[in-house]
Order: sequence, then C-alpha cells, then structure tokens
Amino acid sequence: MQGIAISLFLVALIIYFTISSDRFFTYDNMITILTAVSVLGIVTVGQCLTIISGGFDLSVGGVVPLGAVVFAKVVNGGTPVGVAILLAVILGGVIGLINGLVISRLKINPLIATLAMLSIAGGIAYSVVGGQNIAIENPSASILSDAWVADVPNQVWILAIITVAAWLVLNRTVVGRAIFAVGGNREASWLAGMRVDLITTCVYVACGALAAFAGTIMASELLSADGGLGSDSALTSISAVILGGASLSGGVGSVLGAIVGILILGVLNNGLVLLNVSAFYQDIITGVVLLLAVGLVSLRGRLLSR
Amino acid sequence: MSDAAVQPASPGGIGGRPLVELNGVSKSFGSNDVLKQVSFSVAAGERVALVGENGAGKSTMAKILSGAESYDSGEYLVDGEVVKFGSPREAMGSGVAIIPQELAYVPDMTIGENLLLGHWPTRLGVTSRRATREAASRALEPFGISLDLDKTMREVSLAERQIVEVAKALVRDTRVVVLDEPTAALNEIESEALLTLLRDLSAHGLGMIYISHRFEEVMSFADRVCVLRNGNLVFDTQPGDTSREELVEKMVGRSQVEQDQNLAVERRSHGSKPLFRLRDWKHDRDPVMDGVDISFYPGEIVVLFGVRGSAAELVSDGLAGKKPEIDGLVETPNGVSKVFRNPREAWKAGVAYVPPDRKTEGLVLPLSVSENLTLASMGSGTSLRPVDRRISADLLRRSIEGFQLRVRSGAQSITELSGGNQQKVLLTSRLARDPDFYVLHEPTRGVDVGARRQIHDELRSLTERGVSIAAVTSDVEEAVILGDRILVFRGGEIATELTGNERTQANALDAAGGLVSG
Repeated sequence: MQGIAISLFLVALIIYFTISSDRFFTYDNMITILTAVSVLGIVTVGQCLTIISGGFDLSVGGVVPLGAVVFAKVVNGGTPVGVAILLAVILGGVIGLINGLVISRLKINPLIATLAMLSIAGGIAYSVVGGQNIAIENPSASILSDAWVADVPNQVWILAIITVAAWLVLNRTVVGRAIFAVGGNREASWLAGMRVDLITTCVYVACGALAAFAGTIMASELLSADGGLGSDSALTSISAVILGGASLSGGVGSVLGAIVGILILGVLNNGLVLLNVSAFYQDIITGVVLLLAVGLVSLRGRLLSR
Repeated sequence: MSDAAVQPASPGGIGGRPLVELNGVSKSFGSNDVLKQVSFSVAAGERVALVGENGAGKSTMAKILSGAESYDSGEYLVDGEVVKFGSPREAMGSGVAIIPQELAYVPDMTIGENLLLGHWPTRLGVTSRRATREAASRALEPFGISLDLDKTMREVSLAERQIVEVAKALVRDTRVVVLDEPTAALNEIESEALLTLLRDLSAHGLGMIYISHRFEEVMSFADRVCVLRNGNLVFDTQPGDTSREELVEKMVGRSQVEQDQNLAVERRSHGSKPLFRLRDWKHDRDPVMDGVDISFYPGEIVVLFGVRGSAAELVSDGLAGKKPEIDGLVETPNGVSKVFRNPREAWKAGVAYVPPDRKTEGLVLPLSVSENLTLASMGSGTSLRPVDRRISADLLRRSIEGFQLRVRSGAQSITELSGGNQQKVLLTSRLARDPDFYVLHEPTRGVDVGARRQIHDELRSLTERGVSIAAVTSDVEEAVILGDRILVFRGGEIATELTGNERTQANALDAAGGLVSG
C-alpha cells in the first residue's frame, strides 16, 4: 500500500539525516519541523479534499496571502483577533464557493477556474496592503502560533485537530464517502442520486476556508503580512497529496498520507539546511527526491498488480 | 463465374481466391470461449455479411481480422500467408482495415487532414494545409468519391463522416475492409448512398465484411451471408438461397425456438392497477417518439426490446432522469409529474435505475465492494452522519443470498470481481431502498451464462414480492426469458406487444425490424 511505502520513505529520510547531522534528531528540531509544516499542512488537508473529489485547487496560492493580509488589516483596524480570524476564514470560504460554482455549474475545468482565481485572489491580496508588508500592531494576534502546551506552537495542535477532523469526515461520514464516489466516477454518483454539484462545491469551500485559515496563522506567526505569503502553496500542497497516495483523476487518496507527504518535504528542507546544503541545490534535491518517491511507489504498485 | 470456387458459396467476384482467410480460428477470454474453430474467407470484390446474436462473437471476429485482438489457435491468412497482427497498424499495413461503430477522427481538422491522418505530406518536416489538401485530392481520385476537403469533420453530417472513414481506409491501400454496423445511425437516404458507394468499391476489387442487423440490407447488399452462433460459424450461404426465417433459426438455434414455446406458456398475470405509467411521451430528435404510452404493473417484468437506436433506450434514459428533453408525463404513486429532469427526481419518485454500462456509469472502480453496494444508499451524499455499517452488511447479505454474489469480503476492491459479480453488486446497490419500480438497462450485458441465470432468477423472485420491473435489452434471448410482456420497439414507436405464446425470439426479431444483435 502506498501509505506504508511512503511512511517507510519518511523513516528512511529521518534516519539518513539523523546519521548525517547530530543536530537533526532533537526535540527542538522536531518541533521546528512540525511548526514549519503546519501552515502548509493545513492547506494540504484542504487540497487533499479537492483532489479526492476529482479536481484540484490552484487558487490556494492566492487565498493564503489573502487570508493573511485581511487578518492583518482587520486586526490593525481594532477588531478582536478571534473575529478577524473568522472573517478571513469566511472570505476564504466565499472564494471556494465561487470556485465550486464555476467548476460544477459552469462546467469549467478546475485547472482554468482555479488558475484564474489564483490571479484574482493574489491580486486582491497585494492591493489590500498596497504591495507593502504591513506589521500587525496587536501583539495578541500571535495567539495562533504561541506555545501554550508543552512548548509546542499552537499551529501544530491545530493541524493535528484539523487532520483528525478531516480523516473522520472522509472515512466515517456519508459526505466523505460521497467525495470519494464523486471523484471516482462522477456519472455513476449522479445516477445513484447524489447531489454531485453540491458535494463538489462544498469541497472547494472547505479548501478555500482552510487556505485562508492557514494564511491567518502565517500572519500570526510573523506578526506581519504581505501579498506574497504562501504564494507557492498550490504546487507544494498538490505534491504532498500525490505523495500521500492520491490519484489526480480522483477517488483515491488519504489525509494521513498527505500529511506524511508534507512531512517528507519538511524533513528534507530542514535536513538539507542543517547539512549546509546551498539553497540552490535544495530545490534540485527536493525535486529529485519527489520524483524518486513517487516513481518508486508507482513502480512497486505496477509490479504488484501483474 | 470464377472457376474452382474455394468456398461452398463463392460469388462471381473478381477471382475466387481468398484475400483474407480464417482457418479453424479460436479465441477465449479466460474460461469464456468466444470463437470456436471458425473458418471463413473473403475474396476480392466479395461482400460478405456477418450476422449473429449478442455475444455470438462478431465483434471479436472483427477485432481479430483488423488486428485489434489476437487469436489463440488456428490460422489467419492474408493473401495466402499466415499473419498474427499485434496491432491495427500492422493489419492496415497488410491491407485489412476496420471501420468501427464509434468513428475515430479529429473533429477540428479538415476532411483532407483526417483522410491522411498521420501521413500528411511533409517537406523537411514541415507540412502545409495546401499540400495536404492536394495530396488528399490525388489520393481520392481513383475512387471517384467526392468530398469537400476543406470542411472540418465537425461541420459535416454523420453520414459524410462515415464516408470519410471509408475513404481513409481506401487511401491506405486497404483491400479488405470490416464494417461494423455502418448504417446503424444513418437514415434511409444516407444508408442507400453509403451502400451504393460500397457496391462501387467492391466492383473495383475491395473485399468487405459487413456486420449488420438490418435484414433488408443484408439480403440486398451482400453476396454471402455468414451466421455466427455462440462462437461457431453455423451457416455460410448466399442470400438468394435462404430466407429470413432460416437465418433467424440459424442465429437462434432450432431447439431454442422450440424451448421458447415451452417457456412462454408458464407466466403469471399481473395485478390490475398500474404502479407506474408513461403518458404521451414525445421526443423530437432521433429517435422520434410521438406519444408513447406504457403502463407498468406490480409483480411483472416488462421487457422493452429494440435495436440499438430505437426508442427503447430512450424510454430507459427518460425513466432514469437522464433525458429532460422528453416531453410527457409520468404517473407515479406520488402523483402525476412531468418527465424527470434529473436522476434525483427519478429516485424520489421511486425509480431504481440500473445503467447499462457498469464500468463508466454504474460502479465507482476505485472503491470497494461494500462501498459500491451502498452507493445508492447515501441519499444526496451531503450528510455528515456516519456511514451505517449495517446497511452495507445487509446489502452484502442480500447480494450473496439473492444474486449468489461471490466475494471474498466486502472490503475487496470492486475491480477484482468478475463482470458477472460486478453486475450483481450494481443490481443490489439499487435495491437498497426497497424500491417498487426497478428499471434495468441491459441487466446482463457482458455477464457469463451462469451469472446471467442467477440474475434472472433473482429478478423473477423480486416480482413475486410485488416489485415491478422494466428491463430494456437488445438481447432477444434475454427478452424472451425474462418478459412477462415484451414491448418491441421499432424506431420511435412500439411495433407490437408480445404476450403468452407469442413470446418467441423469432417474433421479437421480426417485429423489431430485422436481425437484432448488440
């Protein structure tokens, strides 16, 4: 199974870095890795939903920064932090709603639809802060990344909760199974009486909301925001979901697998930095490792099914 | 007249020497023997019709001839030399091409470009529209076919596309062409035009294998008729030496015809009040329906039988909620309403619909057996309530007990099951809400004989519990086995209703307008 294979790959990576650097396998470093992947992890959970449903969402690269800047602006305007978070999330949900409607009702290809939205949302994010990086004046806005429990930043716990919730929905509820069904065969699901348009739209709403939420966490962490925060979220989250065993054609996928995927990316990133690998090589190595991981698993799957 | 005719029924074509020959060719898919020692040949200029029932082996034979499928034993000879084509491309290289039912062309390219698809004239790797057009025009000349080479495929009619397809085969030096129901989607005039073209071409030496179910066409167009039944070539004769009755008998088997008589006797009559009624259904595009009325009663199986393209399929689609463009009313236990606009409405009205193509419309292949069993039990699919394990356990049990489903466990991937078992899963999934009205479209397509029997038995027991079943099928054998009443469709209307002793395969085929096959 892909899940096991990819987990073994993660373990192998961890072992490699542990051997290569004595600063890798420490409590602090582990927390650093988890913290670093939390934001992207939340985006990835949302992306996982869209991919299982048979589509994908490129617009997260614009919704994450939009969530961040809206949060920052609103908090600076005097709004309580909690309300600001909620506003940003709702905005993300609305963007997801538009995506969902365009894709399911207007029958526009998810690639085109979310690519367009990427531009729009990203553009709005830049204009909200006038192309600048703005600081958040209310120190209590760091709440999402403060460490309340065991010196672990809150965003890590948040990611854990979101992951568990997503897992429950996908694997234990009717709508979760419907998402798999729609992704696996839209026509069959439609003929079986399911409301495929509604299901598709809900998935994009969730993805948008989660992306915006991730954006607020980033702003909370940095106590500042600009239009470029998290703009590379789309491809990275999609890579993580595919690494985790999902199929781009839909109907197959796993939230836990996607998290392992994001951890692989996080461990690689962290490990290469610890080994003082130049930033240029990091990208190359990450890409190669990604190819290897997906290739090996796919090869294994092909050999097994003979 | 040619001398030393090789085949028992050789025509006066250009030379009796066969272009293409099968000698004792057999083919099996797993344990399913699809072709059993078939011996067959086509000479230059001969027009041979190939007829047979659903599953008789015609498509497999066509695929073997055109290189899309391999054969297990026997010999396939082209020009007297043994061949084993690994692909249609190889077959085309030897001069054998197939014109399939689903045409393969590039819609937005011109006719000229499609004609030379993949073989466009280039100069140092560069091609031009004009060069292609000229080359296409030159290639067509010897055949005397006139086509507007500059129009795109999308712009022209289906009939013209068909002709382009034939021309495409010709310009590649094809000497034997296999045509799979070429006139199925054409009207009278277009069919006649195509057939005239084909007759011309055969006069120039092109050999033809013509798969069709249209009786009149076969008798007037072909030089020879071959009948396939259950994988055996049982008859090879000239149209002048036989009759429609004899052909039907060969297709269906004499003993089968007699068996039909016996089966037909024992049937039960239904209750008097209809459960479901179609009222005045009209459809203005092909097939044109003008006021079709059907009543469905509890406790009976009504078969809607017809050739592909007849309104039988349209009725099924309409009941499924796939064809909101049908004009008309539906009377259900809930009251009278207009034709369903989508599958959800159909469900709500109490219709349990089983689509004809389980792979593309019925099952979700990445999911497990249990998940497919409960596919129709999820309501609208938007609830956050937990999946009820008992429903899937219950459906699994019903499938095993009722349909004799064979599975290792519910958690198995659905793709691991045989076609018959997959079909059983699909059928059971629609039983989830204990529907009163079950609409089945091709309930046993692609299912082995054993599973088919089990499915038919279970359908029968369902009716004993008062369920009303509408089964749309193009398989005449199934129509006779299942139907308490058989409504035979011809084009857009019900040609006749067969009840009691009238329910024979011969009668059904006759009323449907010819030799019906899938």
